[in-house]
Amino acid sequence: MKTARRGWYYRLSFPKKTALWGFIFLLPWLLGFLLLFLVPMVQTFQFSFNNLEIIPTGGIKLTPVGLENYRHALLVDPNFNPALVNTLIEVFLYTPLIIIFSLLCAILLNGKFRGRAVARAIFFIPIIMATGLMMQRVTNLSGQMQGAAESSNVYGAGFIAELLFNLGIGKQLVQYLLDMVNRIFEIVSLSGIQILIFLSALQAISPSLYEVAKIEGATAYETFWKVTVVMVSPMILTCTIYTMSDLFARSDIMTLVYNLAFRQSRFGLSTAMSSIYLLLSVLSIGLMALLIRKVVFYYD
Amino acid sequence: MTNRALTQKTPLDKIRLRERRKIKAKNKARSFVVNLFRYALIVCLSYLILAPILINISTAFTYPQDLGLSSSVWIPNRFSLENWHVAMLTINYKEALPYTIVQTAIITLLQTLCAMLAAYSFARLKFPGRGLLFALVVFTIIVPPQTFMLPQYVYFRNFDFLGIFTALTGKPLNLLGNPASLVLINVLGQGLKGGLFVYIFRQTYRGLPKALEEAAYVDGAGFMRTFWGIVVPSSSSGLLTVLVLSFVWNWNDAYYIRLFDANNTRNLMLAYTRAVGSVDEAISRISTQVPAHYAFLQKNPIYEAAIGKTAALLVFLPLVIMYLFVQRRFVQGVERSGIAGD
Repeated sequence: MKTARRGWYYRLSFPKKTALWGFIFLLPWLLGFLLLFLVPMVQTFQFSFNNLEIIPTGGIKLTPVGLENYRHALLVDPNFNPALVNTLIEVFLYTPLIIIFSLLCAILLNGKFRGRAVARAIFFIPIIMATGLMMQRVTNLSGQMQGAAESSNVYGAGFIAELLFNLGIGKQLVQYLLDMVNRIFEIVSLSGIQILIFLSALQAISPSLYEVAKIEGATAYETFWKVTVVMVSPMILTCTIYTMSDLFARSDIMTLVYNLAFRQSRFGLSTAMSSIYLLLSVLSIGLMALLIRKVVFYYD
Repeated sequence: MTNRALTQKTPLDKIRLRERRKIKAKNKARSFVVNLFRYALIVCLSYLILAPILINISTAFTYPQDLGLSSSVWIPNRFSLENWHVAMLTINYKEALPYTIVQTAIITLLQTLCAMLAAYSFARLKFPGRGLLFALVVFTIIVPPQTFMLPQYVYFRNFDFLGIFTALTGKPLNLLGNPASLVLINVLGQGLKGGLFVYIFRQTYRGLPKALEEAAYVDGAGFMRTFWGIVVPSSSSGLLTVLVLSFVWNWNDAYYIRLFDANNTRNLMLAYTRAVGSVDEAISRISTQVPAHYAFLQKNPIYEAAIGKTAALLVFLPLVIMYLFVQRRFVQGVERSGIAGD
């Protein structure tokens, strides 16, 4: 009698209540996923096969054009293919470098040493400058204005470059070295979160594993490869996925697509490029994830 | 007598002792080398990180007419605040700063709230299809959000929910240029890196001991009460991590605001990208407020670069102040938040 008055909710079993609340908690995200992710994704593909006009009074007009937009993007547009190739090269070149660099930094910061607090505070600064906006200003802009060679002047590398040049080393080699300096710079500014994740993973390794290794007579080198790297390996997967998606999201293609859509009003072409890019990035990341998954060790 | 025999050192003992000392010395030398190496690397990398910031600061304080002199690279010959003054005017700093702080704070709170709720659901509340939905969260992290710019733009241009607005006013609502679009996209968890925050929170919540929540349920607390009273307070370091990251990333982001609210003059990052796009124009726009004797500096690339750098510092400054306050807890929290949990 009493339970009947208290309504249907109180008659649910605990697992049912859990499921109900699980759904309620998820509701905002689920709604967002459907309205602002899934539908736009489908629409991107839909728009790419059409000529799209945005009517000023509201609404859109679609005229089907078949594969015309794709043909234009891949065969006619002079900027798209080079940008695509550049992005791919950049992603596959930077990702391993960033992973190795951030793992190294995390290991450096992990042990106990004097000045650790200060070092950590400095190493996490790139996180604040997450988009590397400040960094871009320093490297790119000064590069455009005063010639590429001076772009590395921030580090006093210009002096070394001049020295090498005067020593008779080819200009191209010097330029390559300078590019490397700039790369290091970008890698530093892109590895903030990765350092953080690796550091957190290193802290989670049980000290007993190191003790065992020591008792068994493992050298520091062996311990590194057979304990540290193995235990951190699941996070290498996480970091790789994150790094790649981050690099894909900050590609020049995105600027290209934005300008096509909002400066030149070529909406159909812009979405066709978006679709190609979307497939390409998901495919690359998925492939990489599968590859790494094979070598990752899960401690369960 | 026996005692003495025990403490007396045999020749064998002496050899052992000598060996032990040798090993100790060796270890000491090795750890010294390791430490030296470590410090050298840390100093180099710190330099890599700090040099651009320091040189920007030095440029910002340089007297405009001394810019580009080789004698005033690290330490300006003449100090001046002129660059700061001009840069502040170009990005409309006085008006944009409070507006952007409030805007970013609201976005951060909404984004965090949605991610927390969703993550708790993924971590603890079992319901059918949970695994699949979490795979979709990971999918949202992987897909570059900019690929949806046009459909999202169109969605907010002709905003309508279940046909309500068309029924009321006869046409869909235009939410472009309206803060509601940003509020909506963030409260629904699809804002900047929304998926990643769900992931971080899920890892944090999975690392909490289950017994706490079970005790709360046994004592008759509901799901909401357990979440807000037990789960949230005991995962404060994870919360801090996400709050800091969300604030910083949204602060540094001009993409969403440019897409949905392109004419906003009070968003700092937008004002900055606009000013830096053509420093020349930005300076000439405020030319009436620039002292007359700097007129010759206009259209001077070195001066424009310096103004751009100073503006970047101005945009970056509030984050630095925030970082100084939360830095200690943030760094500690990262270790304990269990981002890299099971």
